Amino acid sequence: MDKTYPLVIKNLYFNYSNTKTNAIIDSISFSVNNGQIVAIVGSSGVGKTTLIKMINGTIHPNDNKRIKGEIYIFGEEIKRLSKPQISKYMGTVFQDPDTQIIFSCVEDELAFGMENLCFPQNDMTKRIDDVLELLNIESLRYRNPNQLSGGEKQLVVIASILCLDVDIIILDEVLAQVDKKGKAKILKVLEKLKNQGKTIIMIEHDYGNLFIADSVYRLEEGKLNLFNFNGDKNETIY
Amino acid sequence: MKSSVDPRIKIFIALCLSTSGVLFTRVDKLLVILIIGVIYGLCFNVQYFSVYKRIRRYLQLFIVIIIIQSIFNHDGQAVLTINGFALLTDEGIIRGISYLFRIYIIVLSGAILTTSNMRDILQAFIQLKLPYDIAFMVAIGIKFMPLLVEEIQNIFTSIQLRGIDINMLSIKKRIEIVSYLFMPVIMNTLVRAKKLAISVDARGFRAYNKRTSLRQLRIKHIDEVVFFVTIVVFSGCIYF
Repeated sequence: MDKTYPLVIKNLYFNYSNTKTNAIIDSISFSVNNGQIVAIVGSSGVGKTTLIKMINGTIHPNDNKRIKGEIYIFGEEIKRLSKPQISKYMGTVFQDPDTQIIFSCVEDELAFGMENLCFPQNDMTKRIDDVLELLNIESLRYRNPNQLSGGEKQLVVIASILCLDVDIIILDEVLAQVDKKGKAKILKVLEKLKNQGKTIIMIEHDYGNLFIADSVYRLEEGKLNLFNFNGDKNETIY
Repeated sequence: MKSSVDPRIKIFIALCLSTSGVLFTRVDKLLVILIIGVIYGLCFNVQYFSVYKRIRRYLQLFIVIIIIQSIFNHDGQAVLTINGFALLTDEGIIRGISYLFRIYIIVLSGAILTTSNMRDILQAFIQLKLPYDIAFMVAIGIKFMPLLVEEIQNIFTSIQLRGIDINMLSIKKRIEIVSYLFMPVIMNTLVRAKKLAISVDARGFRAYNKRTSLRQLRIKHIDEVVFFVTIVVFSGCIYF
């Protein structure tokens, strides 16, 4: 398997029940290149988050026999990687920051992942400085994340993933709870990350945010199709 | 002194206080321990008003405990007699007050720990060689307890917003309502725990057997002084 591709998915299949009908993910294949932003759209309940959970190992093929097909991360099949090993390549940010924030200081929150991955102390401090600067949130460093606005909380969660210096970043509707100003800020950061060669997979509801994506896929009835997006930018998919 | 004392010293003080509170039986000794606890609390800037707010709803329960202790303890002189039955005795009252002191001492021990932030307490547990998984679980438990309480209050409010005045209901009906609360609270807690677990996994939790730390706690001169004073104070309490 080509190791230059951060993510390759081949004939992925998943069904929540044992019946053969209505597979939520049905023979999906796609690959993502370095420095590419891929958006996945689709109405609610169509299986977008399920697909993300399969990619990031939350639904792991070794734990769940209903998964068929192959997922490769930098040429390594996901079956051979444990969840913590996957976290070295890939970081996921979910929609609700409140269920992802653990500590009562932003700096501790950012350090948590790096501590788990055994970053040396000096590297941690430097990475925290760099990421806070990248996101322009230096002023939040010693604040309590629980007292921040929704947009700021989401930036803190994104920062905690960026600190890990992972090559693949998965964003599961992260812009849904963020105000216009916060959205603009996050989208700007995503563009910067793309230019740094990071691979970004984003799940989106809002067409207005898709301009940033290099390719847009639509998930419908278990199938993932390339979506030629020319529609109304103000449209929202439900 | 609040921010300058090492959380490991605070853990030690809390352990000394709570152990003394459980082991001592004499009311005068318990009073001394309580006073010592209050002094420590003042030094560490414990927010007594917020502690009071948390335990005020249990004050009635404490009074009931005193009365029950008195009723079931017939030693000593009768203070209140009904039809020849000694309802309250001086020994019973003293024992009840001892229980009250014990509860306050244990609450104070917990309050002293809350004067350090969660990350510092977690780091203290790690440096005390407690396995990280256990230390993390304890810290998460401390963090999520208020959220759980908030969740229960929200569900109570939602019931009241549907026109049910819980205070007007019979005890049987109230118990029935509380049983309805359990399912959404448990479900919400499980969902929250699952999401948190996914997020923690995504950040490499237990990726290696070891982990590094951004901050390191170091014992300072003031910590040594507080530690020494604590040993002297509690040794004195045991001796006398």
